[in-house]
Amino acid sequence: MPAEPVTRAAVLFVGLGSSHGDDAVGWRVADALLKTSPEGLMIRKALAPIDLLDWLEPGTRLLICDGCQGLETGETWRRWTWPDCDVAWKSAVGVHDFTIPGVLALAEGLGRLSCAPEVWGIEVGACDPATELNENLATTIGKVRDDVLAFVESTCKDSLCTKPRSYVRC
Amino acid sequence: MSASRTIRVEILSRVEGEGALHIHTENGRLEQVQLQIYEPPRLFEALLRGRPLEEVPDITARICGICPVAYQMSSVHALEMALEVTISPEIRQLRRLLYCGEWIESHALHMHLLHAPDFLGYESGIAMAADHPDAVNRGLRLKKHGNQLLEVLGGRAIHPINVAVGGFYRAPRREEFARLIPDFEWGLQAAIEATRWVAGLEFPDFERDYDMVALVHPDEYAFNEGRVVSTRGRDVAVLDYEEHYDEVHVAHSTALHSETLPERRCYHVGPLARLNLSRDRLFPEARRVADEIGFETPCWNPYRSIVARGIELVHAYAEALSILCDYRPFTPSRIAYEYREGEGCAATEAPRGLIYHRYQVDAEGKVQFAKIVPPTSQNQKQIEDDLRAWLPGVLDRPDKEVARMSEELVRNYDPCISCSTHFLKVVRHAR
Repeated sequence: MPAEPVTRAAVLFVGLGSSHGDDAVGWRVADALLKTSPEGLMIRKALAPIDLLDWLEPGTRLLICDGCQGLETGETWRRWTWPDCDVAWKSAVGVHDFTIPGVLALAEGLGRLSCAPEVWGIEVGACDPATELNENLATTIGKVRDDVLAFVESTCKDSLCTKPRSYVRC
Repeated sequence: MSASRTIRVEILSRVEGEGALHIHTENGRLEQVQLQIYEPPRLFEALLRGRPLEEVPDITARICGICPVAYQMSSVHALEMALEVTISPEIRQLRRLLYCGEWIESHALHMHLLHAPDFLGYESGIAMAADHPDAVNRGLRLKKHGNQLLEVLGGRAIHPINVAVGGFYRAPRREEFARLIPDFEWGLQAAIEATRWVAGLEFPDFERDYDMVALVHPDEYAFNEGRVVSTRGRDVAVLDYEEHYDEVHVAHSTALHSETLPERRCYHVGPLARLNLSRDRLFPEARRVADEIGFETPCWNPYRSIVARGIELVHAYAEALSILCDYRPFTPSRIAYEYREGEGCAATEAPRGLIYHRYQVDAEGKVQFAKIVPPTSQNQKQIEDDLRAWLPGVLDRPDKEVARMSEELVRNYDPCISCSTHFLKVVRHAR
């Protein structure tokens, strides 16, 4: 059964992170995207997943990037369609325990998800205060930026956003 | 035969804090309660040594993702004292506005998504949203206003960067503030509604003879200045804070416990303390709502802190709106200063209670010493004391229930250590 078309989606990218070591990867991807200034893509950085609800309105297509740990050997990054990403962040603890899965569940409950969000996870190492992001992540950050842009180009730009069917990618 | 029971509640990540709870009983009698917290401010204190003093507000802002303004305000006031800088009334006003933003963000989130579920019987704010979407949406919208204010005035919502020693790097344009006014007008009414809502919740019957401590200012509801006053009559200058309040190491936690001197007793900081000591200095809108809902002060029930937060939320909106409407751009936005060797301290009111900073700087403008006392370390001993008083009445219940109720009691303090929802995990050891 074809998914029901709704309105054209605004696209919101939220890079999650902090200034502590590799935890900054989400912000760095947001910075990299900002340099390309893709049309129609709203780019924000947030410290806590709960803050993405500040910008998420019904009809907005949501893309998220955050650091994660425990990808399969050799994998440096990965993209999920929510709720598949829940496994990756299930045991994570966010600000006030509002993890990415928790916040997306809240968004769903409040009717703010018009499309299944896409979540990019980048494998990170140390996230200690007052340390810099590992320079080796620069390549991965570039790859994730390119994947986000390709995703936006192919899926969002000229297409209609559809209501999710059990949050399978629309 | 001895019946030993241990309820161990563990956690977690540090970035927003780490806490665990250990409860041990022998033959049904409470033997030990330990709240274990791992806080990083000590690391930041060491990190600050040798750094240019201009970096302090930005570095201390990174101590906490929830209350960066509290760290920035405390640090700049302390450093200005060390440098003998006197800020202008306009800068002072903008700093109050910035603090309003942080209180709005923090209080709205805690009331609606972290604390209210406890009283309504939900596991989390997420679960509560299914039955109370309007309340949750209201909370999120109010929280957003706080972030918007931080973004406009602080330069960005995450770790604001516009705060400087001597003032602000840039004073906002009038139109930047004007754009916020309609939202804040709505927010004031929504905050009043929210306060009425939480005032109607049912609260456990639990009162204690607290020593509540807060900053008190003669003319206003204190944010950045005042004297350190307690409900037991202590009234000291911030300069003398360390003569009356001390931090001590405890074996079970890397965080320090604060206690009064010379008694070495616990004390309570936060919204209830502020309201008990400064109710008459609230903005009229907040005073009116406190009267309307029949909020009696002094209030000694920590569960009612959610109502105190509501009243303070109304205050923060009313004061913010007043400043936003009256704002005129000004110069200079930052008072110039020269480096000098000196020492300064300051106390301000973070959303969850009094925060104290002290710095020594050298003639080259480098930090030689830093001391930071966050509100949660001041409340930590009090939280344990509350648990010791409260647990004997519920120890006949299953571990899971005891753990849940313990979490709820801890959440009254809105501890800024990755706090509230699902704060605790239980591991039970029975012998």
